[in-house]
Amino acid sequence: MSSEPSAPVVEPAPDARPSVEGTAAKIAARERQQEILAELGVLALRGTPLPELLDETTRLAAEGLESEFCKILEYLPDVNRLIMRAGVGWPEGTVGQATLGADLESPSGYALRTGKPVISNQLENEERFRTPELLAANNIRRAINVILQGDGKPYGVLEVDSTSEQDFSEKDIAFLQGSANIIGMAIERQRREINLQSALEYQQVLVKEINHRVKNSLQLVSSMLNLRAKSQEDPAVSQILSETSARVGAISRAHDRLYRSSDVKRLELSAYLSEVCRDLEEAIPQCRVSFEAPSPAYMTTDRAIQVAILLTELVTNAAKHAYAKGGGRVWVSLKPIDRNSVSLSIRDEGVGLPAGFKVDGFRGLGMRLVSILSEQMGAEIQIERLPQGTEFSMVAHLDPEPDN
Amino acid sequence: MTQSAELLKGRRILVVEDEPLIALDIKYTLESSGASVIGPAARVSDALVLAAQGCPDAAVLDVRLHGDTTTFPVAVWLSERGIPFMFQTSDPGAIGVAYRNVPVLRKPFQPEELLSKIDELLANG
Repeated sequence: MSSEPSAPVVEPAPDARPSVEGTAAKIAARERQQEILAELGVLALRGTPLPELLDETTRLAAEGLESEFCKILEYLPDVNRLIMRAGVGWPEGTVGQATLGADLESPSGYALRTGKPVISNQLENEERFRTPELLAANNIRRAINVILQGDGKPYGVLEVDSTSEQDFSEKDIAFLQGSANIIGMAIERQRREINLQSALEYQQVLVKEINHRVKNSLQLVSSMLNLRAKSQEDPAVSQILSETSARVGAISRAHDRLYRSSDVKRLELSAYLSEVCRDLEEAIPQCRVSFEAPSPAYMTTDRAIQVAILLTELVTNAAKHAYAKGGGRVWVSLKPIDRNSVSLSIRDEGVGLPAGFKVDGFRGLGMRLVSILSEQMGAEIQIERLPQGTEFSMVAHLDPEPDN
Repeated sequence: MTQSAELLKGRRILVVEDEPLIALDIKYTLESSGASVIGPAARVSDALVLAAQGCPDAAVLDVRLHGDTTTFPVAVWLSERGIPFMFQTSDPGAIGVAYRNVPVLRKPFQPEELLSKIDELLANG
């Protein structure tokens, strides 16, 4: 940020004789300039939209320097020209259209390139710079240019022009550079906001694309397992592969829910498990899976997936062993105990467990998974032998939604 | 409890899916229920040729194919002929409102889900 103007480039001025009236008028003009700087500061802080802010700046800068013309030029690096983004005093069709060269031979180009304010009080006799056509066409006799600088690259130039004969002074530079610095900051802030917004949009596209790819990859894993299952001659092996594919399904449901939710760290368990149960019902022929959960329950994603896998195993187990071939119904319920815990139960009305059954004494992978997962969650699986059938249940700790 | 896809027996189902493994999985799943599969086609042009030759009773279409193309031209072809179809996709958002009444099977799916969805499609079609 160039908060202080660099040494200005001022052409030698002919001697001027001060008068009392002249001095009073000058003081009044400086006071007005201070007010304008304050007004611009407020406009910039308020986050005034850029076009409006630029318009106001040109209006106020022209007023502050008692001049008829003012313009803000934006630098277009691709064509190395300056385009008039805002302005007062110019003929219709100039603002937004007119461009000027940005080379060192033009006053505005010089200000842009060197960062130094430029005063030309006698354009008709100017020898340092060529006078841009736009200025000559409007009979402009004097011009003052300062750089519009943000944190990064310069935005362009703020220029005030007049057809009258009074001179711009170094004090005028201080006013104009002050205005330019305020606006430069505002432009920089808006640029950053636009960059942030586009970064956010890019991020959203990326997440969407990754989500698409993850789901496709999970489908590939699932399809591969299904294909292996179908090519197996041993029905037991084939069954295991199909079940594994269903486990992949339970995990991918979690992914799907996460993608649709705003919170990736926690999952709402009852909606998630309800989908897992629906998948299970479709995956296991001859088996109906009813699911009930009276209220939402939140759990960290990792643990929710563990609960889903555990549920998958227990439901698969009930369908396989409790009902044999005939099929039947499995009831799954998720009931709140208190604010911090729920009870998950899986009940069937099948043939009942073999005598001496223990979760951890079982050799099958399914029950071993149940045992490992429940232990990891610090939950104990309770088994109740019902008059008809069996109920497995466990208490799971929740991670309740923080109070807002 | 899935009805074992009774309606599928002897039906001709067009499958459009560009991922060979997934395509094969869909083909076997449908065939194991007694359907015969037209395709699977991995490209829109192939799908249109196969569809015109094969007279499908229904179709299962992936939405996005490689190279950023979509199967919507196939969907249009089927719609014009009143042939029921469903989409299967990992990106349901990519399906336009024009197809909001078309059933969608979300990837990843289990074979049973595919069968029950397509059974519904045939029952309603």
